[in-house]
Amino acid sequence: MSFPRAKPGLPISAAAHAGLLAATLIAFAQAPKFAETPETVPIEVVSDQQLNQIMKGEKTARAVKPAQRAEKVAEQVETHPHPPQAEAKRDIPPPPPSFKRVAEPNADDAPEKPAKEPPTPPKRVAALTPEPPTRPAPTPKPIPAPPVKPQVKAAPEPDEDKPDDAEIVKPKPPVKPKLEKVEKETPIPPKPTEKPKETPRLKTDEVAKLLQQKKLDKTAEKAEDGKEAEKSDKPKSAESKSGKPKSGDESAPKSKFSAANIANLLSHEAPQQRASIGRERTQLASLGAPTATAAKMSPSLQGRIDSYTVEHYRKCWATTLSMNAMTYVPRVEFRLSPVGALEGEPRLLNPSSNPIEKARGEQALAAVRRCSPMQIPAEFTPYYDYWRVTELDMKEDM
Amino acid sequence: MNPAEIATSPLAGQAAEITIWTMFWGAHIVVKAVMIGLLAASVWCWAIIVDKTLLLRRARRAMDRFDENFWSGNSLDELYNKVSERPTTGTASLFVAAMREWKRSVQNPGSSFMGLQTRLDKVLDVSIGREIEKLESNLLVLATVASASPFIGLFGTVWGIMTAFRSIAASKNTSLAVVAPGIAEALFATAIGLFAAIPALIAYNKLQSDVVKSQGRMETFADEFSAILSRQIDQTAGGRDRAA
Repeated sequence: MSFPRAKPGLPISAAAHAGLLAATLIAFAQAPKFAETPETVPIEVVSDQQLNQIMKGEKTARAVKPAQRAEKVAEQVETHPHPPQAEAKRDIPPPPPSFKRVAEPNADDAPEKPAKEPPTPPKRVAALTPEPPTRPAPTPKPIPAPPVKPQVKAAPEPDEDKPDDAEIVKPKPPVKPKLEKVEKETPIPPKPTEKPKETPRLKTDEVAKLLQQKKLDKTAEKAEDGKEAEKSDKPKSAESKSGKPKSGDESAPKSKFSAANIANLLSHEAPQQRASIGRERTQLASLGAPTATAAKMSPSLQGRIDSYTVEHYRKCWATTLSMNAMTYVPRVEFRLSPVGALEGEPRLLNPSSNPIEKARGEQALAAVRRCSPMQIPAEFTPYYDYWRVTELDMKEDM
Repeated sequence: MNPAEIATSPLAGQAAEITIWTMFWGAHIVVKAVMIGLLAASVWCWAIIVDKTLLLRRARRAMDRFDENFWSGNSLDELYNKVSERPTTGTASLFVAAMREWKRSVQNPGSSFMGLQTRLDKVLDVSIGREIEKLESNLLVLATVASASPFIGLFGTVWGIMTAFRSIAASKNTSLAVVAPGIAEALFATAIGLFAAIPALIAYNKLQSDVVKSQGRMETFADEFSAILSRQIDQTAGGRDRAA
């Protein structure tokens, strides 16, 4: 009942697959390559005619989008937003570059001063006296000021300050630090502060020095007030520069202003055109003049060019092609550069195997080489395309 | 020729060349597994195809031979003695099974003929089923491979293309020369899948139809033989009745 179990299937199948695999490995060992096809490049054909007419405008040219004209690229300036400042009270001059950090301890001491006013003044004076060499200016100013203008301008200033600042601040318009304000109310600030400002113009430094040396008592009272006020207001500027810091306050610019000076402020450079600036330059393509036409080559000019070329090279080959072979006329092709120099090698278009004719061909090529830089008349230059490639039949009897 | 030699030979050694071997070797591990699996499936399929073809041919030949003997006019007992000496196949095995049942019933004097016809039919049916089962075993493998291997190959291809695109993205180079090898490797998996599936499908259809043909032949024989035995039963039963 059982069929004889001969099962040759598996070995047969395995062998067949192995064979097939080997066959494919051999058959596909090399993938056939595609024929090399050069990449296609879109080409627009420009005929000689169009080239000769190149000056002519193109009516179908793309319209240029109207844009703001810019001839110059704008400089890019980074603008940083200023941090919001606290309410500016107009008396504050900008803090000058830190000249003296040393002076600040005095300013820091300020809060202490008012607490014990009477004792401090002498100390201050003593402290100030050694300083004069470094800062002669500050001390003198306060002193001379009081006699002259304290009353005169002290009056107006408080008035000005009052409306602007809070009532509490009235007495000390210049003093900014708020800690000091409250404490300094006790001394009479308005007058001393005024004094320094006015003084510089009226009084010389010499007087100040003399006074400084002689009168320490007075300075103790007034100079101190003044200095304290100054130090607190503008400690550095007042000390470093004698006249300017004080004049820097409100009153100074007013007095200096005059209409006549405007001219000085103006630029002395002659006005000149300034290029309009933009983010990028506007590039206008030249479309050519719509009515212009380029020179066209006429048949006569063509004939002239031909004859000129032949004449030029005939001189060379007439002498060279001495061998008598009337049957063979070497035909030479060569290229010229725009200035008439030979470009590349001349080529014989009808080479011959006959030794004599071969020699004649060689001579023709040599003739072209010898004559080669050809003078190009100016009238020919626009038609370079025409005479760029030249073919010459070197006949004896031309 | 050794594949490794081919791959490393100067002929195929150029980097740009893509041989079958480099395509397999450069593929992702999953794709490799798919390829190997499909190749194994193909080998198995062909083994089944060869075996089944041979088996069916032998069965057909045996049935032809047995039919000749059966219709030659010899007595059934002689034929039975002759056939049952060797293992049988096809209709011969049907004949043997039926005759055995017949003899068992006839030789036993006490047994009745009442259910013999039914028993014979049963025995013939069972034998047909057994023979058919023997013939069409493993044919389902062909059907499965035929329907599944294209999908498996496609899976390998998709996976390979996925990895190819990932490496393209990583190398940031999209020129066809870079893309092509990865895709060729990936497509190789589908090629093997189809290579396995197409013969399997064709062979399955062919073998299945052959099996059906054999089955029909056996059923016909079973019917004829059953009719003959039925006649014998009637004759024997009549004889016994008369004897009784």
